[in-house]
Amino acid sequence: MADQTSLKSRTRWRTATRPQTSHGGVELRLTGLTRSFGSAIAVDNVDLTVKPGEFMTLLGPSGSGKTTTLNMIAGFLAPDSGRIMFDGRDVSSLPANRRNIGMVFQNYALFPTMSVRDNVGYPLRQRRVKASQRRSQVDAALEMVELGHLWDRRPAELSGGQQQRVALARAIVHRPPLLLMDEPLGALDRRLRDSLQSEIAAIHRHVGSTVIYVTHDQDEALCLSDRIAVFRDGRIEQLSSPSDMYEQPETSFVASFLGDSNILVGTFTRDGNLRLPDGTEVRCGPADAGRGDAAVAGPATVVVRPERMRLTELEATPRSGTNCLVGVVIEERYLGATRMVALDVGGDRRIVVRENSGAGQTRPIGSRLRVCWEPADGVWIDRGADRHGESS
Amino acid sequence: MVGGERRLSGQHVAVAVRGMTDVLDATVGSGSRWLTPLRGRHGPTGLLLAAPLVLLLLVVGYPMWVLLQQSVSGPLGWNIFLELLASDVTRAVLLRTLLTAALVTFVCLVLGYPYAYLLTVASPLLRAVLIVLVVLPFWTSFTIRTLAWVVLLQDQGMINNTLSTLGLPSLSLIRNVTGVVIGMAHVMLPFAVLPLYAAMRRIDRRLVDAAVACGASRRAAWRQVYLPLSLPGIVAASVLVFILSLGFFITPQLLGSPRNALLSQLIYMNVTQVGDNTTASALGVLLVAVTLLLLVALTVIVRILPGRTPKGAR
Ligand SMILES: Nc1ncnc2c1ncn2[C@@H]1O[C@H](COP(=O)(O)OP(=O)(O)OP(=O)(O)O)[C@@H](O)[C@H]1O
Ligand SMILES: [Mg+2]
Repeated sequence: MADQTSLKSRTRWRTATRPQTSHGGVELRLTGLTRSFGSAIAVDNVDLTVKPGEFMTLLGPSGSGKTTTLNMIAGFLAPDSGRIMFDGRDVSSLPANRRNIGMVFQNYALFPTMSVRDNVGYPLRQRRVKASQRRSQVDAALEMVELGHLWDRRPAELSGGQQQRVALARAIVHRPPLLLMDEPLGALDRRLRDSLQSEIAAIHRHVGSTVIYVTHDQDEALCLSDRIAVFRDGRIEQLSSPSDMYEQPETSFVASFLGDSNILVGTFTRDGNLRLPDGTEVRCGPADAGRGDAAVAGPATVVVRPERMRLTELEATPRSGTNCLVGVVIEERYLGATRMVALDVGGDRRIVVRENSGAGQTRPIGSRLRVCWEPADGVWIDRGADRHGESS
Repeated sequence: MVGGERRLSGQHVAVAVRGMTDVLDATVGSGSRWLTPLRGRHGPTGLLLAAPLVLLLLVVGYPMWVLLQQSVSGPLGWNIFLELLASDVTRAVLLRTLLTAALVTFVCLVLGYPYAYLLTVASPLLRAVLIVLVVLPFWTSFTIRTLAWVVLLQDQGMINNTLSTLGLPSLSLIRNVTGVVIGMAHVMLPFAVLPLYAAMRRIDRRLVDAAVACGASRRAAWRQVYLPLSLPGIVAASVLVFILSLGFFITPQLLGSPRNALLSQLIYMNVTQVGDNTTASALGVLLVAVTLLLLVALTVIVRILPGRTPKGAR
């Protein structure tokens, strides 16, 4: 049903848009982008190429330089060095209003003195679109965010979610080849986020713009993006698809920032295993391409996701070839569909296991259990890329 | 007949007071929330307001009442107002007073707007310095400040001396409207800057960025987004400066000339030279009436202005 309305609006979009704004997404290329504030480097030599129509998320903790990067792409902030290119054209010296972007701000930034319709029509007004045509484009955009009935309200008369929808409509009404969003859902509650996430995904499909999306919410990044760039201290720590980012984190920082993870630190042995400090040897996935090279004897780190681990009673004999440790339950957290169980496996090491919480089975604190996982689920962390080793 | 007139004027005052609160509401926005209790919405706050209100009635209302009685105590009675309005001299002076006040308001806005904007973007330290610079004149005597302008502006004053040493023709800057406007604008500038700054500091400047991201040039963004948001400050500053300017006396007396006297000077002349207290009082009442009338007119305009007050806003 939602698809029907969007299909309808898509056809209207096609007929209503002017030729120079109707091509899909732009290819965005950042090379050596750097910007500092005083002595602090906010963005440090960032290289990034975003394919036309791609949904790229910049993910990272607070202060990692995401907004600064976005503001440089938008043209609000001049880079100290480096270049910004749209479709191979250097736009570094182009003012923000000439870059033909759409932008959604965290605080909505709607114009308080204008009605919803005037807000959404504002980019068209700047592009001197005729009033009659403007009207139909605005209505189509408002329909896309399901706000057609509120066109005559003022921003102050809308809820937060509605305001952000209007901001979204305003950012896409002129079908910008590049759509920038800085934590657009940051100020909204969980439910509203979910519904707006699907709306953003749908709009991205229909408008076809290249999207740069800033967030520090990992779930949002995982479900929306084609690719994710994890920022840390002004640099890109890893750039991969959501599933690679989760399954194959290159650093322990990425592993712990994106989802929960067990980070095992030990030494790399000749036969390709990880030896833990207590002498236990753990078999892991293939130590190949970069990871293996970096792991030539000496300290090494392996990441295992909690949901890849299983708990069994001590009596049960583990399947041969699986890794097993024995531990004491120190914490159990019930999360509805799943349950997180934390075990002390000796030597001050903690293992967290996520299991489905079915059949009323519990894991009483103090009970001794065996925790097992397949070698393939242990992912080597590239020591070269891992700047802080054990930090989690 | 007298009673009827009184009731009428009482009604006018009520309308005018309501008008004034509306203007203040619309102009200074939340800053004037304290006025809403006047409409009887908050009980306890209303009680708190009762004391100052009574005081205000005593020190402002009662003299006004005396003034009104004095102006109608002459042989002409209430007709003195008709007589005054029919007189060419009074009309000319009244018009000159209004025009001078308007000119002063304009000058103050032109100077005050950029200054207030500067205040909003300045670093905290610079802002503190700039605010002190605005408020500083309040701490010097009014008369001294005006006398300083005499020194600067007079025919053999600093400005004209400088001009003549540069070989430029001298300017006539005193004993005319130019001098009066310069002097009054100087005194009035803080009354323009402060309301403008109060309104501007509440404007989210990221809205201008948002407009630019939508494709607007900086200038268009300013005109279409920033200016409408600062309009309440402009209205508040205008009202304040204009009304205060209507009653100016010392500055026009020192910097102007009797030939182009303002209303306050006419009143002064009536008292000191003619000794006609009745006419002087009537002129005073006239000044107050014109002021209130303008406030009411402004309220109506503010109401009509598109998009000023959001309906049912929180
Ligand atoms: N205008 C500024 N002046 C000085 N320092 C700044 C300015 N803007 C950003 N910074 C600094 O640059 C660094 C990166 O800031 P940025 O706003 O890009 O972070 P962010 O990743 O967007 O964080 P958040 O998730 O909290 O929004 C921070 O250390 C911040 O303190
Ligand atoms: Mg940010």
